[in-house]
Amino acid sequence: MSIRILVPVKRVVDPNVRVRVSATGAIDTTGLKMSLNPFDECALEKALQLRESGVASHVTVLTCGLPAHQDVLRTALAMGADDAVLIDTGPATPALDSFAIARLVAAHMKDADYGLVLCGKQAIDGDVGGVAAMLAALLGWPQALNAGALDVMDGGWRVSCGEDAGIANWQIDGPAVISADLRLAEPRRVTLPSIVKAKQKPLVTHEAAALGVALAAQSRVVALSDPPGRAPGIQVTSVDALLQTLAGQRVFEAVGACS
Amino acid sequence: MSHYDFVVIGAGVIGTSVAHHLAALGAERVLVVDQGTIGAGTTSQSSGLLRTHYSVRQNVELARSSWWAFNNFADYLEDAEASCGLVKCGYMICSPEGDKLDPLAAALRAQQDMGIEVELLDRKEAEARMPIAAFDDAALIGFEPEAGFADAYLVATSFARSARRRGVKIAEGVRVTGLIREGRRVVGVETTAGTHGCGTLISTQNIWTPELAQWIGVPLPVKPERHTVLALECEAAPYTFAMPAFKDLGSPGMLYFRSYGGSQMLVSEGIVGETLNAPETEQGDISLDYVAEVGAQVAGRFPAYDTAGLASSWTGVYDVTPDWNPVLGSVADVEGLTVGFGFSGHGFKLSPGIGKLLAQHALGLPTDVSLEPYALDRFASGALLTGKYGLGAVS
Repeated sequence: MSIRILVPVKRVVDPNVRVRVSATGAIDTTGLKMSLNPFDECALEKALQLRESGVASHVTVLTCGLPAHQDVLRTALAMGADDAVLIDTGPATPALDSFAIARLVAAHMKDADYGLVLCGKQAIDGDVGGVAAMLAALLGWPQALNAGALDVMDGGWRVSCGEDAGIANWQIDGPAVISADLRLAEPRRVTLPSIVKAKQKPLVTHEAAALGVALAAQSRVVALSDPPGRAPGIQVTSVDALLQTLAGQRVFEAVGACS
Repeated sequence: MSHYDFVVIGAGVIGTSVAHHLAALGAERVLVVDQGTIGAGTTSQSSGLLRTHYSVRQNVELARSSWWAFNNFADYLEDAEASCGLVKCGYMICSPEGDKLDPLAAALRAQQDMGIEVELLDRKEAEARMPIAAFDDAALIGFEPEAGFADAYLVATSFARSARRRGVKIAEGVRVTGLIREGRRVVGVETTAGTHGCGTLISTQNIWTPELAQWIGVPLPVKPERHTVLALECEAAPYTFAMPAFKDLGSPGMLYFRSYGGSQMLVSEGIVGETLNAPETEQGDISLDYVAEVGAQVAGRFPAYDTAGLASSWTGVYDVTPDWNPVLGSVADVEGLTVGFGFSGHGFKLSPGIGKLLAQHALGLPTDVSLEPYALDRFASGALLTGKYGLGAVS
């Protein structure tokens, strides 16, 4: 099989930046370091590996947002994607939610022949993690979320999806939507020549309006606030006291160790 | 209201050095307050270069005494466990024909006149020390063996530990919100954790110095300027700890380089950066175009880096004055106040020496080096300390 892979990506505040809520209750990212969402980087890396092993023939990256958001597409092209698509969502951009993004991506896919969608399991800014499942539903494709391993097997995909509670192995045939966690692949570094080369690669912009998707958000932000400050730690005098204290705070139940 | 003989604002590498030196010189009731945590502001973003090469003579003097402290750090702090993470790889600086050549020759001569060991290298000798670089255009290459780089965060925490051991109190997460004055004299500070009386206030507020300017009603010429640092990876030509830190006066960005461990090089521009509207140390955006542009400059000197990978990138902020040199000492007619600000990218290199000078000034003792050239009124009188390389962090 030799398929085209679509990797939808998001531009987010760099993971090393501490985001603050302003006095007016907003988050201002002007001038802050922006990055390709780390989970999307893992998805892209896996897509590139599938292309390099001959499973895929072409990797397209796509993002929804403003022209300024092309910078993460350039990063993705420098990592090795073949071409890039910006869906310009104009003034609607700040209010876009997972469902709007999923519909935009689905609309884009109508005119293209993709055999796999690989994306991050969530964006590190909103942490919603909704796009992959919604997109799969809109396309009528099978989905595998939070994938830590992905292999070609029996003409389909063998996907290991996991979390703290355990790992599920899925066999999926045909086109699918698979979302990556950080274990799926270790992203490669961009190199100086690849940055220069990326400038020559195709990057097209589509107006969101032309895709016929209503961008009115179906969810809204009620309020933003900083996380509560951490309470100071305590000192215990023995291992027994430590276990007692942890048990008293029901820590073991929370991780499912005593259930 | 508690009373301290000395209150230091800022627990970066300068503030903690002041605190250590105050205590070491016999001061007893010393309080340091920091709005965040020790060394977490601009200190944590330092590239850590140590050299005595300056075109401004006073800076050479300060850098020399500071180098001695870094090179004998455990003895200097009287703490056998103290380490500044020193990598003593030396410092190489080179210039092609052109406007940087004479200033370099003069600065190297001045260092030699002051008894600092400086070697002039021909291209072959330079290549032997730095086999990954090409020196085809080099007209003059200087090398100082007593130089290298260290870890600014380790230094700040070590100074803080020494200060605490000597009885200094360091309060983290405490913001100073205003001063208490009696006429021209500063007699205390208002903070988010209460009011403290003080005999002398020492401000080492770095990019937050404009707050002090407001409190005392005296304009202080300092601006936050953001600079970008790249870590480039090149397995074909690793920049090892044995290779000197390096200054390339021939590159458009007057780049400086050092090993970043493994097969990585740390590189940054030594020219004017991006002025920020407000003091903040948050990470700024770094475009791929910028990476490519600096990368092309790097490859001009280090050919194998033509294909280097970008391992990481970050930004740091300098507290820059109009002549890229610090202001040290008193401010106007304000009594009970000692300031140190505007380190313009050389704060870390000079931190032991400057901490001692500011402590001496606050204690009313003679200072090891005259503070007169660093006085605030130089910006009014025009006796600027601008280095011979122009504006930028060589000075």
